[in-house]
Amino acid sequence: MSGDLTHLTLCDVADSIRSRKHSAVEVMEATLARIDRLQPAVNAFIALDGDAAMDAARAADKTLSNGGDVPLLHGVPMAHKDLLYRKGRISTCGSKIRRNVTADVTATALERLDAVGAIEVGTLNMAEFAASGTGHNEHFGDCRNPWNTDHIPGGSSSGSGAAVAARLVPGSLGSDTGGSVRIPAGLCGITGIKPTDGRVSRYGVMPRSWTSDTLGPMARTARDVARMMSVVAGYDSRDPQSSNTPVPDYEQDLGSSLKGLRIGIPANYYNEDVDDDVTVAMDDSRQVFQRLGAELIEVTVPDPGLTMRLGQLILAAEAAALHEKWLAERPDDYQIAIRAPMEPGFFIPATRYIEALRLRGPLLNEFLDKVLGQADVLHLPTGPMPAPTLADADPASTESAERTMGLFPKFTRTISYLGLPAISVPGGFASNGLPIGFQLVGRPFAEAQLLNVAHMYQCETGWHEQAPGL
Amino acid sequence: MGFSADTIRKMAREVYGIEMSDLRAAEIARQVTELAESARQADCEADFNDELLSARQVLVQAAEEGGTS
Repeated sequence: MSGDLTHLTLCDVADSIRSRKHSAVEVMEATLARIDRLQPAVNAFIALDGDAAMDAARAADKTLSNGGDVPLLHGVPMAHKDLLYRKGRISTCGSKIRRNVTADVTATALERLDAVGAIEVGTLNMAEFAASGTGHNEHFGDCRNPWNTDHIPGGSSSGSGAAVAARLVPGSLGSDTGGSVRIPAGLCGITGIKPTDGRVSRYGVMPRSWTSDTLGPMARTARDVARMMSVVAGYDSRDPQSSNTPVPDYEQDLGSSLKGLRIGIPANYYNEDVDDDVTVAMDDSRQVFQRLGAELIEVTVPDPGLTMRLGQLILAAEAAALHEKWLAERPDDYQIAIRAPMEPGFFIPATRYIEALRLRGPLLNEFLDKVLGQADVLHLPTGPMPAPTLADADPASTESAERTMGLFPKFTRTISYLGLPAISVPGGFASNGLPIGFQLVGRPFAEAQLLNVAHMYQCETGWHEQAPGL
Repeated sequence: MGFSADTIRKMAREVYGIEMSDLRAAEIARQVTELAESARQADCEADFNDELLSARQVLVQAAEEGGTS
């Protein structure tokens, strides 16, 4: 399959178009043919607009034929989670309730990708209202893991994880409030980053929880993610949380030695109830970092159970406020697995919500001191287990739904509550052939460092180059 | 102090217009009590002036101190 253009990484496909080695039309034809073949098995797309994508590819080639330089992602096919609004287009948010709602604005992140020439081929499946970590969706059909379609891809950015892993598109934007970029990235064997709060604008993106919503790129390599980050990161006055902290050239910063880098290994919580295959993969990846010259330092993470509960409290309260009208008037239009975890949010006292919010500052300070004061980055499993089957994670009952959804964000929501950046990196495979990911957590706005550490790891390993046998 | 299923069911109906079974109200009462108690206990140890220290300030301050390399 090495001659198949869909197997090129995002940077390689972009560079091959810019250098006129391949035309945008050639790339788009290969992309649409692969989607046509694999969509029935993976169900990564909610909507596809192949005609518009081909028109855009022809226009991209016409620009190329005029000579001169073209922007960074000129003619590159992409697709994103169906909660990024584009004016005049339906954004379903994976829900029945918004199935026919047309957006009246365009997300800042999409505008920035448009400006560098990326071409959207369609919109991607996701958990209903971004509210589940599994990828089940009874409204648009369950999204499936390309490594084994009996298994979940993870969520809530399920279509982004599955589409990139299946080589349907080379890059995608997902959203991450408690792990929704990192969980599917980990379970599908790709690279995905949750940026620092305020790093990437959420304007024109469906809210899940205002406090912790973030938007992040998902692609096969750290270099691909770095290129996308360089495009979408940066201040936006239309997002009140947006930060004006300067944006580095993430791709140019790749390649720095890891000699002397201090990698924190958690002595508590993140090694509890972890599947044996995940433990082996964590140990193996840490040995790779040691070979690269990094120093492993054991750290005790201050009360992750508390940050998990406080994160859950804020999420439940904000989600209930967002969905109050529909939960009262159209409860049966929600999947039970989506509705049930929101209901407790109605009854959280305002004082407790405010306490959970104001504790973020002091708890973040404590984390920066006790964890990221000792280590440069923290190394964690992305999740406690490889992807279970769709049947085993079936949210058919309220009880199982809440149990399932509590499991997947166990190692990701703790970091979301603190607002820190974290990247999920492919770190091996379980004995059943499914991918395992690890997370690297960094200091505020240290995305460049995380991307470099992930990139150096990928220069030494080949996990990110493995492709599912579809 | 915990929440009772009766309180949850009454609030659900009278404040939000949502009907709920006894069993479901009891489960929600358990969850809300656990979450709310976590916040209450942790906040008891916080300093009175902590409301001045937002997470956003800490993120930006840490970046300005050069921790983003």
